[in-house]
Amino acid sequence: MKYLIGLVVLSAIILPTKIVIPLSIFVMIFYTTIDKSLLKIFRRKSIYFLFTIVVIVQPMIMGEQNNQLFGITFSTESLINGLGMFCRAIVIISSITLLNRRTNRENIKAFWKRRGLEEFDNVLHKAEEILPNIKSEFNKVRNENTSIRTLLKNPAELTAKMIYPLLHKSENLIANNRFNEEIK
Amino acid sequence: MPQLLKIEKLSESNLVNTAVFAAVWGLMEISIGTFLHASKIPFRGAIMSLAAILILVSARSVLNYKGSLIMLGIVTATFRLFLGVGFNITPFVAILIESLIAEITLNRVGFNRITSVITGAAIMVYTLLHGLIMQAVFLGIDIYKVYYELVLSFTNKIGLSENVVIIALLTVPVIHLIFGAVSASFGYSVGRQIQKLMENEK
Repeated sequence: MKYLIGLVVLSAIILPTKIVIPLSIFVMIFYTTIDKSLLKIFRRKSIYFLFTIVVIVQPMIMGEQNNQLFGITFSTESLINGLGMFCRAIVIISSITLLNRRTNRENIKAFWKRRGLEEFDNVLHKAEEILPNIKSEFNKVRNENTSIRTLLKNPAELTAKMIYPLLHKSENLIANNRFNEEIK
Repeated sequence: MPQLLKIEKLSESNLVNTAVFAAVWGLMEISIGTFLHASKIPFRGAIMSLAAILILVSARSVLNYKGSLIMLGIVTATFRLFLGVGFNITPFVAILIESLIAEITLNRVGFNRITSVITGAAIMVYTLLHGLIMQAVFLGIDIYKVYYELVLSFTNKIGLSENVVIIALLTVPVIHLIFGAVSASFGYSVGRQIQKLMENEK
């Protein structure tokens, strides 16, 4: 399936506009049979903003104004071009959304492991463990340093104090020495 | 399959510290990112990049292995992919490239305030380009022509001279660069403060 999605994205990028428009209709019907929620893309305001720019405004300002509708002149070529751009965006966004939904964490872990990140899984797992504690640690430091004066005097120190309690303290000597050497 | 990155067994401190910075960055991406996504504030990507610069530069002062910043970026990007709201692939790509830029400059070139500032500026330049690159991927390079024509027709209608438009357009990257440099310098100071706290504890 992921190869098919890749092929669809590639086709939408390289094929000429006149082919992309019918292709996108076919692809969207196919995608809807797999996941109906992909149609929610048409609920987004940004999609209609994009439609307005590339399909409505573009033909009125670009190309040879060779057609007229309700007294407004526009370029047919730009209209087709704009429709192609819009269809291409819909197909690519839907394809990536579908791929994203079908990808689980295990796939991602295996992907990075294959590329040499042996510890990716452990770091991700540890980060997930730490995540809920961060907010409470940050709040603790913030409550200890309530005055605005402290914050304005040395914001870097306050930020460091927020992160420091979460860090692993041992074995930091090597990093410390290297850091100091580079500063000198 | 070729192994693009080779980061082998990490020491316990490197593992925990990478996880800490990834969790902090991930939390920022999820909380601030979600807020910005919902509020539709302009330059959302630039705001998130400033946070990324701060984390990457300060993390470098603690993480002492090659590939540390890439590992940090990959873990954070994975968080963003699974926990973030909205269309997550563009921030995923942005986080990966930002960490790659930081890895090249801070871990391969050297780590000091100057390289940190250069990293900050480079990440902000990428942030500016990111939107343009992604729009070209999704809509095709013709979108640049559309934007150019739109700006031209708008400026002609309100009677702005070409010089004013060029100055206005150049102001945006300059402001980006300045903010990127400031964020990186601040991140470097945070890193030094963390080191001081570590020294004091010994």
